[in-house]
Amino acid sequence: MGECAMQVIEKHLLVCALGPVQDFIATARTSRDLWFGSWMLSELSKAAAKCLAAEPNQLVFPAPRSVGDLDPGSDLSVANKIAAVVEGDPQVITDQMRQAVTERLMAFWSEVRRAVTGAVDWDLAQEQLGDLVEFTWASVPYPGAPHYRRARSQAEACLASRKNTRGFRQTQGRAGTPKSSLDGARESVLVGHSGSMTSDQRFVAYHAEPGEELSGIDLLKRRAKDQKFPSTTDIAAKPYRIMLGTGKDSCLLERIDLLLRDYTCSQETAGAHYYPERLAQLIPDVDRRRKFRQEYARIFKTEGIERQASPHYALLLADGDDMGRTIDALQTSEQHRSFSQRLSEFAAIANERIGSHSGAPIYVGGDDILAYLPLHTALACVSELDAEFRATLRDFAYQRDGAMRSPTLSGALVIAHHLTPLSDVLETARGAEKKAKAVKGKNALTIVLSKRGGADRTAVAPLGELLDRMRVLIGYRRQRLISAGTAYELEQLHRQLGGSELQAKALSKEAERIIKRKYEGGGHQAIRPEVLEQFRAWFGHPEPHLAELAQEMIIAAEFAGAYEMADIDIGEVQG
Amino acid sequence: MTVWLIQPRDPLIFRDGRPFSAMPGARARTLAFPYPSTLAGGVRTRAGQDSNGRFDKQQIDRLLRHTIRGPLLVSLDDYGEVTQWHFPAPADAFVIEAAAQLTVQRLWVRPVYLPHGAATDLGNGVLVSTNPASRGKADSAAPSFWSWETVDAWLAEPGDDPAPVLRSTLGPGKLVRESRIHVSIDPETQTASEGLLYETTGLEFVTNPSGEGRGALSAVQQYALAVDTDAELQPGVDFLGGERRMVNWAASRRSFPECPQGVRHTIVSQGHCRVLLVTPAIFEGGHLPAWLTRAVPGVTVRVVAVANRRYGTVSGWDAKRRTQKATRRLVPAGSVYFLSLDGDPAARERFVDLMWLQAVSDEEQDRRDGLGMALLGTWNGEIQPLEVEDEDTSS
Repeated sequence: MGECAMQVIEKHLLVCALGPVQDFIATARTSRDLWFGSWMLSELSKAAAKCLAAEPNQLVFPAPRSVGDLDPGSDLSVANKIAAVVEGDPQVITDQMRQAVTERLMAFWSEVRRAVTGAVDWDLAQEQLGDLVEFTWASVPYPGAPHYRRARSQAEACLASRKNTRGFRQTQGRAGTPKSSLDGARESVLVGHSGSMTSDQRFVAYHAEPGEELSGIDLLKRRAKDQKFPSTTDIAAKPYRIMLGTGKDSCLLERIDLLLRDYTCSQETAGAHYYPERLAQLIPDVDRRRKFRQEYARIFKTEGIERQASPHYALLLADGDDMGRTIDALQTSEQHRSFSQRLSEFAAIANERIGSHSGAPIYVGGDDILAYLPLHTALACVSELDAEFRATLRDFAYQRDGAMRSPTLSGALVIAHHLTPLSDVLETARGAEKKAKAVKGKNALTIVLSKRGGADRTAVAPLGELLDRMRVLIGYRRQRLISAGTAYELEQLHRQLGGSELQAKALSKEAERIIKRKYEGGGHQAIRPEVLEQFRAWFGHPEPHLAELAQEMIIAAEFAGAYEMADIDIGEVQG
Repeated sequence: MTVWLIQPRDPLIFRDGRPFSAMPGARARTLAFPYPSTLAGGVRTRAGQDSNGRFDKQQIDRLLRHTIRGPLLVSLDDYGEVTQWHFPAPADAFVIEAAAQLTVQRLWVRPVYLPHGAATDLGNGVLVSTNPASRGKADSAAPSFWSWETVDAWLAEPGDDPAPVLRSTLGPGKLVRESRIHVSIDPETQTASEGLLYETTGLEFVTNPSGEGRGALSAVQQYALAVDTDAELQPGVDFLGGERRMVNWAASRRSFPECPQGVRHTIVSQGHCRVLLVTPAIFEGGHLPAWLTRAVPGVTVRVVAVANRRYGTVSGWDAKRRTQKATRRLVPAGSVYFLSLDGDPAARERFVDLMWLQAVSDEEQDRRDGLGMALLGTWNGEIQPLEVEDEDTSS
């Protein structure tokens, strides 16, 4: 008779990627651009993921504990990749996701339209916006939980192939229009070009810096959320402001602010008030700028303050080692969900830690960290993040070099000048992170001291070891137990004799002689025996070798300055 | 048509579209390699100069009709003649790090069928992938240019390297970039003027074969740009690119490589080919060519699959209208198109002749400017099922 039609509900494993990361994150001029680009991409990913949050679909990555975590503006940071087990036609589902992303983007855009007061080519901006989001996906049939690993391999392979064909449409540009200062690729939508309005007028109208041209996408990043983000200058100023104390700090700020009002109506953050160069940039006229500097110097003279703020801050770029291998080792979708949740937990902890160390997280999501930290807390923060990462992910394991390992963190800490263009600092950080990832055994850290007018100083070593040594070296500098010149002499020694056939022992002896000879104060103080012992111990091992140690000492001196300003007892630094 | 060599004396700056004005902290950065439009402009400007170096504006329309092919990166010998032609690394070669130091392995990215029941947002389009799907890590130091020998072999017989090869045998490393900070000197005080610092980053046409700046000076290799044009030029010193950096123009006795007989024969007999873009192309359909598919009567050309990277943008300055040009998107050099050529062998021969190292952009003026120069390679027309291996858990 009639057959009983068996309804086999087809499940698919869906993996999606949202982009283009380049437009959202890489083309940033200010720290706020960078932070906002990352945040907006996360918000768009959340909007897409939310479509899959309810039954019968099941999100694998991200795996929020409650649907509310995917609401706009929630605390959860989501990476631009989504994986889920879905029921129904993947084409229909992904169309819904695309729609959700567009709606969220338009919500941001309406904020911009409300906020911008100047004349803008809104049609062109809208066109640029319509073209912005790239949403690629791949789906494979999902026969059930026992086949998760295989399905995941296939889905990832399909998505990787998909990314080999980068389709795009031709654009309708506008002749006679300058291009965006951020990416040089899109036309500027600001009708008030640099010629026709003053810098102050342009700032009020668009929040554009002097001479800056902004496309619709740039405007989106600048104006969609009226939230300030601490600049590199703010972070660099922190140790100094601790040194001043709250009373002196507010008094000085008031006086400087009053002075600034006489010269420009551009705004600047509190921290920036301690950097006359930064403030001077807001005053276009050369003679007035000179006058401003003179009056600025006078304020500090009358207050009896000689010391100026240090211009350096630290940029931290870190991510989990071998995350791909760790995920590949997961057998079921449940394990993957659990892993996703642990990563979100870590991200929340990391955000909190960075904040408690007076830093500013730019992007913390999944296993990625990008943050600013002031010099007097950067090392302590890195140490804590490393410990928290290992603790949070200790239940997962993968195989490397024949042994089972649990996930660890590697990264780079770049000490940069607050006025160095962000793109340069990021580039330095990325190169430094690569060096850290190349260290055998992983869990390594690269510290780069990138001062203006000098070569970069780099130290690379396993994270724990490097932080320990830095702690000791910073202590020595703070207590003046070794002189500043010692490091440079050791470097010189390495340069002259390091490549020669001189026996390692002879080299160590010469290094020791230098250590003993260089004492602080110029008096007849001998070097402390425990300090000499420590150096002997270091020289006795192939790692760290002389050149590396010299770099670490030079870098430590920079940190020591900040610790001194903020009056941090070296004993306070936790391991 | 003569091949002209442009030998840089200074580091050259080929700016992207970012505005560069007299604002504090201004920077002029260079692209990694000049667009054809820059060289086309250089050729036409030079051709329109009289013996005193003055440009005749009345000539612009005539000059626009000159054809320029290139630019190509070339190695020069001590006498300034070409020793090697270099081409952008093809996008259908996935280069992964190999175990031994300084070695890599190339995997061929080719058209594949997805596993049964799988789908992507490309819909019915054919995807390209390494096969079996590779889990290797892309080599970050992979050369962006391959020498002609390497390209020749890849055009004739693409495929996975059976064993790792030395990275340096593929082609030149990255061109060195040189940064300078400039000041403006106040003539009265003879000191730097306030706030008028700017930075420029230019391309030095040298590579250091040992990498990391540790090689001997004698090992440094000198490069130049080569263009093939029908314009009448004079040798001599001139400016090219931003900041009026100097170059030397000299005629070459060599010509661009010809299509290898083996490749021609295979394409004609198999009825399929790959088109490898040697300079960026501009198509009305974005990444999909139009003119290319109908240029040769008697041949039906179909684009089966595409391996490419993200689009670039170009604008520039319109010398005739004296204003900024509108931005347009280009398919980057190195992109590879897998084509089927339906037609009789004679028509396919005509296709090969018409397309070998000629421009394939949609608009005629773009073709004259050298946008979208193409090399042809073989492809047997096969679309393979994508193989996904189970992970091996050994390290």
